Amino acid sequence: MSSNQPQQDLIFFTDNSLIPSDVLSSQASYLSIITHVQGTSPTWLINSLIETALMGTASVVNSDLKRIPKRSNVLVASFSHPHEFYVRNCKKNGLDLSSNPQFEFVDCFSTLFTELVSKPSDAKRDVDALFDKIVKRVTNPNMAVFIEAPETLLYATNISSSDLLFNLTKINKNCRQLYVISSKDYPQYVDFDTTNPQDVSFKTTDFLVKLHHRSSLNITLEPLSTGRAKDITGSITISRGSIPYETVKVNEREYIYHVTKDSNVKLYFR
Amino acid sequence: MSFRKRGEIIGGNPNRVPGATSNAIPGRTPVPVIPGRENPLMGRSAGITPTRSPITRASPATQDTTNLIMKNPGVRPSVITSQPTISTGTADLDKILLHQGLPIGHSLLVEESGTTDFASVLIRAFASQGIMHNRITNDVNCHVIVVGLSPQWSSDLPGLYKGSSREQKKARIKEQESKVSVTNLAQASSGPNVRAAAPDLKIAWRYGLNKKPEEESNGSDSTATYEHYNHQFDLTQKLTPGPNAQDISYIPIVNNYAQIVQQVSAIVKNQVKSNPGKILRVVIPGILNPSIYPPATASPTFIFPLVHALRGLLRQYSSNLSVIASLALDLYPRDSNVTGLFENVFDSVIHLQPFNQEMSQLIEKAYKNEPSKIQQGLVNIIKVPVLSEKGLMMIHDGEYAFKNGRKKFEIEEWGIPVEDDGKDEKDAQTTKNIDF
Repeated sequence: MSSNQPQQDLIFFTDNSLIPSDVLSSQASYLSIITHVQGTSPTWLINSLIETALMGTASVVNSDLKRIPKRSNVLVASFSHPHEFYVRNCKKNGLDLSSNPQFEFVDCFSTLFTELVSKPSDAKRDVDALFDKIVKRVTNPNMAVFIEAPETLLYATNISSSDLLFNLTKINKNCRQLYVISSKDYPQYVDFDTTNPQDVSFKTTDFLVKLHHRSSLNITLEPLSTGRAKDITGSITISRGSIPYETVKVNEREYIYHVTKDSNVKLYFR
Repeated sequence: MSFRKRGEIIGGNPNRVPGATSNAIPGRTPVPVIPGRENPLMGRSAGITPTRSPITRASPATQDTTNLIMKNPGVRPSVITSQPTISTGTADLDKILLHQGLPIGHSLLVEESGTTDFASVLIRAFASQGIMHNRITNDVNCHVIVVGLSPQWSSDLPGLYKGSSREQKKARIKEQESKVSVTNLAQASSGPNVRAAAPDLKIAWRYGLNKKPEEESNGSDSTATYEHYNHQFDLTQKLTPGPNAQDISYIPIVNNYAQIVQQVSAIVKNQVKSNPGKILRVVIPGILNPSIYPPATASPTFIFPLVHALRGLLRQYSSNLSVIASLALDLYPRDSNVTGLFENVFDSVIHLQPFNQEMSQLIEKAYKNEPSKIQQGLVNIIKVPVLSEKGLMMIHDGEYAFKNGRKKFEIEEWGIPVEDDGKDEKDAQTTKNIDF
């Protein structure tokens, strides 16, 4: 399949961009959601978005984007990976995050349940304090913020989906563009049949549904429904969220993509 | 008139390096093959990527640790990423993980459906492999940490496979012959015996038969470089001598997950302090099995923080620590959020799916003349270390099968056996009356 079709550049908006400059300089705050399932980890996409936010280019997925020096600041808060993971993987994108002054990282992973949230059965205060710490780091209003796997707090602590959404909104109000990266494996996490509010599946389903009501751009990564293919990793769907962007328009589209062992990405229209 | 060899290009550069391609850049020599690496450029596409990352050098402290780790006899570089990698103790499992083992700083979850306990074979081999690395020299190269079980568990660790009964007999005879005794000396000095092998070789040399051992040794370059990397274990043998306090530690399950993490962390810290090149293998057999774990531990506020904190430790001690765990899917099916979270948190996941009774009968029937080919179940790959995290689709369902024998746990490509129901024999018999 991949040999017959021409390779495409990944774009999210009708102005052929991934993060428009209008969005980063606007007064409004936007939320985008990146959801994925087992087998389609979005590492390559997050790295490309970090690159776009920092310097305008996205060398792995879009060769047309032009370099804009010191475009915006980026803050990543991850609940599933340490700082070294981003530093190592972003080298492919030509970024040295260990020495980039525009890049900030909040480690919500290494000592999450040993120091930051020491009592998961009564965690509301600790979780609020953790998010306050992230909000304090959002110093530049033109910042793009990435929060990876915040749903971990829903699985492992007693906080409700509303508590988590409240904290994410706090961050979003302080930055121009917030990306929430979450897994949506069905039926492990997303299960519309559960009715018990204490159930982990109930909490994560509720969280994702409510989050989608606030978003402006939704990106979904899934494996092929037809089964495994050697030259295709999965599909990426770009769709509008419920709150529209003021100045730009989302280019709704579906691609199929292939990630190789050396982290090269090829995209094709579906 | 001059003659040229067939493969030589007329008018070619006389100084060209043999084996170089015709469009090679002059003055560039071919990439030297690093011993121990099967393919030096494996996993790299032919074209150079448009944006090459700037070269960033690791800090001297990190380099020192990596150098120390690479001196450990139980460590070799991954064939994909060149990261330091340890063997799981099962050669075929090492192969399907694609790195030729489990990269250090990563974890493996073995899920198993049904009421069988094949996962324990893999878990025990993982522990035995670590302890075997302490038996190579006087150095303590590895330490095993068992979570949730008592020292009794280690009494069932498998011992080394010493070969088939015939091979063992041969080895015993050889050992006897090597001893200094009057009989052996008399036999050694008598002429015909010394030259006994020579007449065979007189004929064999023409056919290159006597070259065989040399070729074999060249072919297994990688095995020779990392000769102590992995061992073959015999399930019917016990590991002798058994593990001692230097080899293994036990951490009981308590109702506070932070205490468990703290204990693991304390042991790791002490062991690494004593020898920064030491490998630590954490073994967690039967996670959430009610016979090991009290009911309170099944709460999401216990088990999720526990596995998440262990992942944090893995990343903190990414040059020394590895984790293996097993989970019974009959207790927590793959649809449940417990298994879903485990699959997210662990770096690599495999699923052992034993055949049902009908399938087992079919395979037994198909391989009735070759009982050694009978497989016992499927091995589904769900996650592979490093590659799955990078976004590669590594889910392989129903592509591999396993068979557990006395001498090893084998994993091979799965193919549906052809059922020979004896119809051909019936067809071969003529039904017509052939009396004339």
